[in-house]
Amino acid sequence: IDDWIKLPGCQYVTSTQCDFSSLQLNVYDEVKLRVRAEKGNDTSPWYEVDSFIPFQKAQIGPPEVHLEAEDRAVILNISPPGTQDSVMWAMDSSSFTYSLVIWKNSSSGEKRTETVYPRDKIYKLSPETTYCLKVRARLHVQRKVGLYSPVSCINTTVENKLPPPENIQIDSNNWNYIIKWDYKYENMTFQAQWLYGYLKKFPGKHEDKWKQLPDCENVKTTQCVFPRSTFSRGIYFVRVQASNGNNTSLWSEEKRFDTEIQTIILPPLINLKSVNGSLRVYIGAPKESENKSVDQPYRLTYEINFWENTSDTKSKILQKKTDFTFLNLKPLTVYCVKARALILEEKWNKSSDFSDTVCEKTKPGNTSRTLLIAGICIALLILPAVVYVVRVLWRCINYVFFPSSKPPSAVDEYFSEHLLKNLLLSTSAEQIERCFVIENTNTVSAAEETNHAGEDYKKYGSQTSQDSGNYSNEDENSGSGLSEEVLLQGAV
Amino acid sequence: MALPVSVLLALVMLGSCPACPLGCDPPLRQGNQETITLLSQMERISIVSCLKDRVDFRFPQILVDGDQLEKTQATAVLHEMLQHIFHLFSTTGSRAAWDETLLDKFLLGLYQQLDDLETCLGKETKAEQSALGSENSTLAVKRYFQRISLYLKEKDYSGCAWEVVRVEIRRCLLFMNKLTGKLSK
Repeated sequence: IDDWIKLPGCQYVTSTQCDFSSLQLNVYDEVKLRVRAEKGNDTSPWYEVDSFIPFQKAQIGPPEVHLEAEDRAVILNISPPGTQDSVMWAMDSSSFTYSLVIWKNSSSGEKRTETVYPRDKIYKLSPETTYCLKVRARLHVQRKVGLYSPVSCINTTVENKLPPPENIQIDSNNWNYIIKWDYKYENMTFQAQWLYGYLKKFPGKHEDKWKQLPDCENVKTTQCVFPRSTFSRGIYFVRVQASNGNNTSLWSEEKRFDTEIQTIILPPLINLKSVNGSLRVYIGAPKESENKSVDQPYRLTYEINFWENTSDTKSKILQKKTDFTFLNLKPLTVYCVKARALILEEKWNKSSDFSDTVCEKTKPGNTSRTLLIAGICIALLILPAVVYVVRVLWRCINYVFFPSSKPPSAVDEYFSEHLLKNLLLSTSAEQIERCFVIENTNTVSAAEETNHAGEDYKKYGSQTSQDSGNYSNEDENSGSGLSEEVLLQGAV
Repeated sequence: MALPVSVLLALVMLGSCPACPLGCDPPLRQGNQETITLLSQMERISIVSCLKDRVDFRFPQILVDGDQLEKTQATAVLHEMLQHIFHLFSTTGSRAAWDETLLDKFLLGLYQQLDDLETCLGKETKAEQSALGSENSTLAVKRYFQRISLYLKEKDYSGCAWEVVRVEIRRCLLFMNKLTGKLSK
């Protein structure tokens, strides 16, 4: 059972409409209404209105407009629709956008439509002319368009002696912002002021909110330079005024200035790597500039120019990734790449200079490479087998055609046993064997032998052959001695 | 014979994005991160001394669960949130509560983000806007901020009330960061 409440301002109403504005309700909550007719004690059944959300149903009313005239401009001051206590748009008072229609009050009134801030100026008007305008508010997200304000007209003033500076441009480099403007007359001094951009969203006077640009006070040239550090990231407005000592001009058009749009984009660094039949491209961050506040808050898109070193035709690609590969390229060909960074946003676009050109040669193609690898593998596998077969063959040939003069294997075995023993023992002391050889009666000789590997038999052999003759040293001595004795006996 | 280099490239280049959606990409700015940092710097009273003033503002559930948020809906939600945070901190009550320099920078950052989004939204045609979905989510955002406004009024814009609100707004900004991140993919 619903708790129906009496709707104030709609009780015992005689007409077929009523105003329940005095009801304190939440404009974002769903509301249900029901109506019935009464006559005396008789009542009709209730008619239930489809439930609705007041905010969604509401129509935006006309805004309030105040005007002030200059010679070539009109100053606007727009108050949002509804009153101060307005419940419906309480949360949205700073969300409204306004569009204005202005025309000359003369017969050939060409209408001009502009989107304006609550605190704004209409420029490019003629002096001493009557202009009429009307304004309406809009809530874009909710797709609500308001009613037009009543038409108000105003006369522009007599032309001022000194015109305001015109054609304000703002440029920047890595370290400074540069404001430039045009001015008709010579020998003037200028001053520039700035304002926080967001203040434009609020109606009311901002005169006291404009601040001096310190590097631009009383400059004699039609430009002034100030460091980037003056402004933190954001949107500002800048205006310039001329003066010749006696008179000052009115303020110039307020130039919108977005620090982000003034960002300098540095060219990126490119790294190329040749991988098989393709080229891998790495796009790196640009070299650090002196002023580190130049950062890249936006997503960068890269325009890459790609061409074969020998040809002139370049192809251009737009790419957001910083690591990608060009596939299916010709092997052993030199390709070159250069790139620049772009910001492609709704509001504006900006590009950096081109990076240095980087060239790289592609490696040999895929197929020949795989063949090469396969070849190597096969070679590695087959080689030992081949070597083995060759060795076996060689042994066979050797055995058949070139037998070795080695002693029979049995002897060899014994030999090698002895060998081993001797090898093992020889480190401690040299073994000496004394051998006696008796062959002739008049010579008994003792020969000393040292045991040397493989020499035993040979030495023995040589001794027997020597015994049949004379020993070299001893025989000569004894022989000569005897012969001397015989000679002496004969003479007595 | 070898195909022209451009044709080869067109056919086989990796890293292309064949499925990239058309339409307005909400711009990715580091700005949101800076805004969060500024908000942290604005702290005047420690929340610890304001624990009794804490309230559940009931952050819209539709958004928390909102992996189902379409691009246009999400953009509308982002815009709505930015609008209301901007509105909240540009009231006279706010001027009195926070340091002037920090507040100016904070509002400056918000305004820049709003400007970006408005340029983005301005380009959308009526056909793209999904009416009902957007309305429900933006309405939920409006109710949420209304609760915050009413709370401040009830607490007579005290220092502690503002601190509680500051912490809550920080949560909003972090959510927005996450949402922006999702949209950019």
